[in-house]
Amino acid sequence: MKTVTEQQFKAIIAAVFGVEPSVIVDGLRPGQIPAWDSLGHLSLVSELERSFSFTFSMEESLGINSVADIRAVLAKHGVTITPV
Amino acid sequence: MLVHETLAATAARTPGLRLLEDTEQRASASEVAAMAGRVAHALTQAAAIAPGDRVAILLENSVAFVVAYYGALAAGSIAVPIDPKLTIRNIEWMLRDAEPSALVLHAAQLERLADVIGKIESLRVVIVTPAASAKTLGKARLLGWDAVTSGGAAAWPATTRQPQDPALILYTSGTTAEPKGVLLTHANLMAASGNIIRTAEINERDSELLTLPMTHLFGLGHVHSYVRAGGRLILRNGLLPLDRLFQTIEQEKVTSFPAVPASFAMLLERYEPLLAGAASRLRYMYTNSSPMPVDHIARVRMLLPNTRLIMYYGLTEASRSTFIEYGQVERERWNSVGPAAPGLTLTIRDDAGRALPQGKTGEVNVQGPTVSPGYWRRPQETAAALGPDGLRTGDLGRLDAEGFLTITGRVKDLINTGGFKLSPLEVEAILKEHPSVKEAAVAGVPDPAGIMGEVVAAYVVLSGAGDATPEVLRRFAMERLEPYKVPRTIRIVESLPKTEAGKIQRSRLRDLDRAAQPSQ
Repeated sequence: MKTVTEQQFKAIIAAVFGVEPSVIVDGLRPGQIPAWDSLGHLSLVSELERSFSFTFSMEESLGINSVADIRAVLAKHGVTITPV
Repeated sequence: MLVHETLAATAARTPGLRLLEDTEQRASASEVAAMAGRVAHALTQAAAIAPGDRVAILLENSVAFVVAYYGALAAGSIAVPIDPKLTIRNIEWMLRDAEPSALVLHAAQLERLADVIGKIESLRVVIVTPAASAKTLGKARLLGWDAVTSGGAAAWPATTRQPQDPALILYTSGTTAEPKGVLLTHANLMAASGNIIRTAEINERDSELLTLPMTHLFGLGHVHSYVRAGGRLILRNGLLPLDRLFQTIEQEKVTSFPAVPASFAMLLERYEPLLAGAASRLRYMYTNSSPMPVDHIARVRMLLPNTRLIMYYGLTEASRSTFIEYGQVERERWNSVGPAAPGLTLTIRDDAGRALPQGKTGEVNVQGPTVSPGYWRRPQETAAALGPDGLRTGDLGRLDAEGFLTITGRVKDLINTGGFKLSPLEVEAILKEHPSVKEAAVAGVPDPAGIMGEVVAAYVVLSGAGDATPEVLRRFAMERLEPYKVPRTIRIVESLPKTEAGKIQRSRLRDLDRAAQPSQ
């Protein structure tokens, strides 16, 4: 099991998309920021795999349509996100 | 025939044809023609559009985009599609350069760009989708899209244009920091769409899922082709969400799905079974914009043996210069981009412009009906690019005995990342705006993931003012550039390789990687 803080979780996604971590909210969806296009999506999945050392299944990768979906996949793989 | 007249012809031939649909709206050929007529009337009356005036269209892929585009052409104007995803800086630059008399955009973009638009003095009318919330902005009168397209005269104004007149300005990255407006005539666009239709045999039974931006010629060329041939266009903005993309291909019985090689790479990398399952009905797929690796061609051919995979090569300035259908040629030729398209001539020339024999490598020159007459208000660049031997493409290549062209490199310093081309100078100019940066040099390097073809790498010499890190500089670039232009890596170096004349030697930049500080 891996544990990260909320701040670290948001920082990983923010770095992929080149935005401030404050932009990373659960309701954020592809297309709402320019960098979250199909190729940005691929970069996101690759970076999450690298950061948390597991591989997304095809269904998991397809099912990510918001930041909240990312949390759900990480939780399924035993990643805990703590408030601080 | 002019580009917009193909819409009238299709509407007359098959008025009930379901021509366009986006996520909110469906429109038959006759409905699209009627709406385009109303837009043309609004432009000629409210904006007093004269032949050759520019109409900027700042919309995403949508029924409204196509209606606005054909309406602008029917009004006799030159359409200037601009990608709403561009930075405000680039949009402002393009609007100032094009000096449009009218602009069509979404209300959300009007809110984002109000300060810029208010300062464009050439604008007489701004049409806002779906509706305008005020009457004026700056000197421009605001009109609501729904009001313009839902009532009034639908007959088109009398045609005042000729095939050799410009129909379109598309901004493209050149070798300068600023984008250049490529002029394309009605005749250019008709020749290109004729070749697309002929090669893939597009017909009224075809349904194409168009996710490519229509503000680029790859996507817009398919609009021309489908409107002309009378197929159905299902319009989306990009591939996401991917689960719905595959559902749409399957449920809507899509027969055509054009995509850049980077998208095919992504689909093969992650979603190969879904692609094979959902896309089994595809009749053909077009690809363009950058070379497709041979092993990807082989995998697509194996997954979809009944789908024709067609590549075309061509700059915006010479759309669809070659075609190759991989299933029709032996594998040894898959590195090629094919022979010249019908009506075009390819020659390979040396630095002095002399034609080189078969097998010799030199600059690819293109002549023929799809070649642009030049750049918008840039006579020097036009003269440099266009001459008696046609368009100097800036690409290096060679021709074989049967006229198949193989691209081997580039003369010009352009980076091609995921099919998007950009000038290193633009990225360098942004980096140099940072107070800590003394010098910056940018080059394209192979994408280690094998998806994008090239990615952008930057090398920076610091001025001593401040303590900028690669991460700080990358963030600075992200705030000022479109995502695909942001350097994937930024290396801080002591000095840049230069010629004796002081010009940066981009070909030697990668040598710095070994000596550079760790990058992010």
